Amino acid sequence: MKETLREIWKEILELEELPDENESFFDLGGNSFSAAQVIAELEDRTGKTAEVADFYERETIAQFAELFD
Amino acid sequence: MENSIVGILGCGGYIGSNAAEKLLRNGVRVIGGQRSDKELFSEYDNFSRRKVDVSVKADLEAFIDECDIIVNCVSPSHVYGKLVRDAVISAGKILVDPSDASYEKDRSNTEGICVASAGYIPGLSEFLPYVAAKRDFDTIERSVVYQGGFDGCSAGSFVDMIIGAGNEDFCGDAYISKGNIAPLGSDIRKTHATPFSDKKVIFKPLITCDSQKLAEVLGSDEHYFFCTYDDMATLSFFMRLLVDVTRHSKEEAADIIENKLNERIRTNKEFGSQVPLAFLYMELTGLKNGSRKTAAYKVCLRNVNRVCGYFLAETVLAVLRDPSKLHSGFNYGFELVDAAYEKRILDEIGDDEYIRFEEMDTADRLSIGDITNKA
Repeated sequence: MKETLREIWKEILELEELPDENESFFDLGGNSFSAAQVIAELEDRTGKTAEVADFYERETIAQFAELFD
Repeated sequence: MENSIVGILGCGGYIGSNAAEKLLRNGVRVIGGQRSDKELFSEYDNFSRRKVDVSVKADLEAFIDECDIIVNCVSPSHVYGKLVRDAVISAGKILVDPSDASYEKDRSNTEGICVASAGYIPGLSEFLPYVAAKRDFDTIERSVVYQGGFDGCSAGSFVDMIIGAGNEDFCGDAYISKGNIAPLGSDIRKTHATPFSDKKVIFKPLITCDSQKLAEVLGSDEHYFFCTYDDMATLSFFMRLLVDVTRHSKEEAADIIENKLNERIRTNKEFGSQVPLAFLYMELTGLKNGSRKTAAYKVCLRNVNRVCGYFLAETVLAVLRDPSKLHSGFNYGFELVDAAYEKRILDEIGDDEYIRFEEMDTADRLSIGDITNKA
């Protein structure tokens, strides 16, 4: 899950490299709309979903991935 | 242009019918264009109607040919808006539009004579702070607008709203600082009180072309516009629809949005069943004779369609009265309307609706830092 999230973040946030799992989504330039884009992409790739609000509770990939443990 | 003929496409719709009623009441000759054979305004001698399918070129051209000013209330506008706009411009007639959805982000190249942003949002939401700023302030330092609430609209209008919000003219999580768009994050977990109901709401910042224009004409150092949402589930629902707009063609997105709207209405009894209520809050802080002051507009409506239609009609009346105010290209409706309309509008709203303007203590103004992550 973490690897999938890293790939999606890189794509949506247009990062040059895969993000570290402990970097904050918002520090990397994310906002509520890009959060919704990540969720849509996550659903397409894994069938799993989340809420936009989850990004504010869990700003890093490591924290976000715990939702799906 | 006193004897001009005003053609209203979509005359039987929510906004078009209200605009037509007010124009007819004011003695304007109106031709209503509609897809159906439905009888309308038979009590008015100054009204006639035509059956028009705007997707049929000959139908549309024949209708435009009969009129001097064409008011475009055809829904859905994401399908027909540009079609009507181009036909009106080709015919050399004046186009008046409640929204600005059919125009490019860069409006400097708009052909013909178009009056847009002449509805509720955009439209009245710019007109009210505009007249207050000109009347009561020498300079504006900060302007804040937020809007929200629920008001029934057709599925077509809902789709138009989402497609409009998902296009490049909108900039989410932003405000205007000294003429430039700047990022403005907000913690959307927080809810905030409004003067309109006991229910707290989520504030979500965004900037539109009209926000930029309003900030420009006000000369605001800082301009904020927020949409409000009842709860996180509602905000998430809208955000996901916006994502659909960016991932699909307009036609595909329209189907997806309408299906998701119907699904939500079916599965969530609260959605769409609230007492219709829409609100606008506008707050200006600036200087008058060297002293700082703050004033707020509070607008609470149960029938947005009526107010939107009436403001649209008021824009048309302004054009008829003084066409010299129009210039070639894109005209903003809120800049054309007579400032006296601010008072007259009180006669047009219902008993349980209100538009209030009041000065307030600057210390009590909305705290942007409380809403956003901005210090």
